[in-house]
Amino acid sequence: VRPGPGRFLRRLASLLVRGPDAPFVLGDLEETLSRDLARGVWPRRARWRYLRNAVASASRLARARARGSWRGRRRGFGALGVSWLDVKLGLRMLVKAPLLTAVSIVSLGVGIPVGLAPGQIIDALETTLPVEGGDRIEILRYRSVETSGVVLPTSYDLGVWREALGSFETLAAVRLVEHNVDSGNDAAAPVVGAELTPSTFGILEARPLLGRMLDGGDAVPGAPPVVVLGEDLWRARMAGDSGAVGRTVRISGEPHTVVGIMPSDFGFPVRQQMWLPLEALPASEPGDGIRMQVFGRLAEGATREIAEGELATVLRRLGAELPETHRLLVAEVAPFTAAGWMGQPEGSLRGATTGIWLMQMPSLLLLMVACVNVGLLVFARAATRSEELAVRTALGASRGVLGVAHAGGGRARHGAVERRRSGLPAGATGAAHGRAAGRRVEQAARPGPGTAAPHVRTTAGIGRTHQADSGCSGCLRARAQDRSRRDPRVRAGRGRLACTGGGERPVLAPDLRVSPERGRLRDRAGTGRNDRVALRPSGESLQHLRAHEPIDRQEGLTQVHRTWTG
Amino acid sequence: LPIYLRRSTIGAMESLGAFEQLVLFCVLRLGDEAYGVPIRETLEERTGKTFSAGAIYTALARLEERGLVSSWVGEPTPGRAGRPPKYYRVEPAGARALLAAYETLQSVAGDVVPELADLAREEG
Repeated sequence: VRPGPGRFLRRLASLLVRGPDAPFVLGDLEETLSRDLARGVWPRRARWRYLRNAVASASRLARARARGSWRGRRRGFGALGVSWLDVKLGLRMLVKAPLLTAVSIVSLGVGIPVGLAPGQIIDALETTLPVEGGDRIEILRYRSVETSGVVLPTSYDLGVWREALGSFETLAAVRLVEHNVDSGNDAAAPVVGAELTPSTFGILEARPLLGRMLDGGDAVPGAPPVVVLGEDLWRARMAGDSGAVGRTVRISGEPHTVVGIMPSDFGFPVRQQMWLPLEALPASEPGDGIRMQVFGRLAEGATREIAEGELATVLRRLGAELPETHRLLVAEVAPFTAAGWMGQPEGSLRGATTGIWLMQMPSLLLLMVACVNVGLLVFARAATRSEELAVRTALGASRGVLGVAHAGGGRARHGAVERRRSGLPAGATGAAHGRAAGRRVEQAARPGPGTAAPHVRTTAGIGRTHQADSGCSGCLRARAQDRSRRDPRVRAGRGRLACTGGGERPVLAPDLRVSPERGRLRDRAGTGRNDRVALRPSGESLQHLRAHEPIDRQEGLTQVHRTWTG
Repeated sequence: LPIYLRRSTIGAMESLGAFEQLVLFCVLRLGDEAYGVPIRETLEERTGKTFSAGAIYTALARLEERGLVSSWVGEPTPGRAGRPPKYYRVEPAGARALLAAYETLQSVAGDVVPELADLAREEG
């Protein structure tokens, strides 16, 4: 019979039992085993008792350590096993090597957001609407078999779906619009809003800040024109007037009554601050009517698969009846997320995660190089302390303590502190960047109440003839650039810069001339092959535009839109 | 500090749990041979329960932190795989705390112990 517990049990016990009293506990275990064997206890039973005692002791010591850590945490840095003196000395070491500190912080501060970015982006893009039961709100649409592109339904489709689909409690529709909004106290400025069916507010379970939301009566043809404004727009244009409800604002010249103010975190569908009723009457013919995003809340017991199957059945019927418009389409029901809003199939972004990581490999490699460089710098500094380490060895420092001291480059514990201290600001910087990036992505990408635009805006207003002295940032920038003559064309005396409404980049006004084709502008500047400059309907003033004249010489022109399609 | 605060602090310092009292009695009983294994064996013999070495050492560490016991490391022995034992001794503060706890128990129990014994027998 072997006298001891065996190499395996002994090793296991030494791995399990930790703490300052571990050597004494392990010694007790050995002695207890010896005594058991001497008393004639069966060896296997004695070893079993040894193991049981070891496990119980390890558990008890671990709990005691945890309690000690908790007490330390309440004291401050006790949980980290450091004192304020350690912190002070660690900070002193950081100040002593500012270059190394800066490199460490910048490397990690940049590296962490880079590492977190793909996950943050995908999470933001695939997060459902932040409302009660947001994961049951689905987008309904078609997808072309030929191009794989999204085909938005028309009001005709919406009418058919409302009658045929039983998988949804309610269906609603929304489309983005842009209007000049004149609240009466300043110049009209374009606002991107949304036309939506009143059922939208019910699906989103929204509550107004003031007044009421849109209701069914507002969308009836011939109903008095009404509008609901967002809190931000209300504060900006109406100075937060508590009597705003009932006032009249002119939207594209037409008076609308403000019936309600929505809270600022209601930015549905993207970042809108103005909502108008959508008269989504079923068109008499397929293909007629406006195209829009249709969405709805799944009925009790219905699933996305059931809804998609039902929609496919409806589409098959429509395809048989109307082959010209519906034959080469497939039905799709997707979660109402930013990715879904942009037309991505469900889960496509998560499926593309590998691709994103591969795309990110160069930046990760760069991060790795930076980390290796930081490590080398730390190592080089620690190498200058060989004498100190030798003294420590002579004084009985363990290998672990020496390792910490060597890696940290300072006193053993202070080395650890230094690494923690340099890691903490770097980590904090990185985490802050990551969090900020995540929030930015979330704001820029996630649709729904309290969120921002999920799509890249392709339209920018170039308000040429709005009030030039209204404090528009685009006017100010244009005038500043014009005065400084930074644009080579201005320096060459070919014209002057015109405001790009909404603070977009200024353009050289004479470069935009009205072409003989009514409603079109010709961009002589050639700002890009894919650029397209077009006039949005702005009333009868279009009829008075003079062909071949620059836009800054046109009378009555209120709004010009430039669309970047590339 | 006010008297009552000092008293309460001292009271809290000297209060002992049941297991700590048992350990202290064992250390006292073992005298110069009070280290982990004998303490545990004595406890198990007299209580009929099983205790882990870790439980003994954590209790002793708490008592030592409060200044109720003191310890010193002995010589390594072959039966312990070359590891030394850690001996404990009850300090006067520990003795006072233990005595106070015992007296408290006695004063509370007092003359109801025979009745308690009778009741226990009935229950049994």
